[in-house]
Amino acid sequence: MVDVSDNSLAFQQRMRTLRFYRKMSSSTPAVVLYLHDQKELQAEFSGIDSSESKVAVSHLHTDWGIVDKAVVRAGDIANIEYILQQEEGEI
Amino acid sequence: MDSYKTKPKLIEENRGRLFRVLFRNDQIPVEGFLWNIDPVSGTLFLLKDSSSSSSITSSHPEEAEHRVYSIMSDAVRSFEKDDSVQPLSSEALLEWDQLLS
Repeated sequence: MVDVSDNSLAFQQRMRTLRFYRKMSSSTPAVVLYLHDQKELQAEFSGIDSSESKVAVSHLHTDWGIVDKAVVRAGDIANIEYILQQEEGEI
Repeated sequence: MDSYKTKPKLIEENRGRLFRVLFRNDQIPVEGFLWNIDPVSGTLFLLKDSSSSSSITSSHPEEAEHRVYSIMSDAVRSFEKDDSVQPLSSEALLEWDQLLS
């Protein structure tokens, strides 16, 4: 027997995730991508697909220069750190 | 991680509490206040409040820097609550909710 309130909480939590990614896609914050091989990549967040399998970034810092646009396989990523700037008084 | 993924009520109850994440690949552990766990992917969202950290001093005091971690569930070795730290107030959590939506 499925608990209805569990379902509605799960729905809320899923929507939270989706709204978060939508917000990040529009504000394109600086991010640090922590990869499984201990490497860290700096970039700007562009977007992510709904199954969280691919991450689109811009201004990716690499050893050979800054790459304008790139897609990173989410399977290679352990953690994404989003650095959000907000000025006081701004909603 | 799996034990939280299947318990939406437990996730909601623990929002705003401090959690510490150890990674499978032994990278530096991360801690932050729980904001969300995605029920589909198990991705963990933790909040880093700059007002509670003393390591970064901004040269522009009118700008508040907020950091969020989205941690892939398959990267997590362990995920533990630290009740010794004061959780976020419900007002602070609401502010974060607005900031991140």
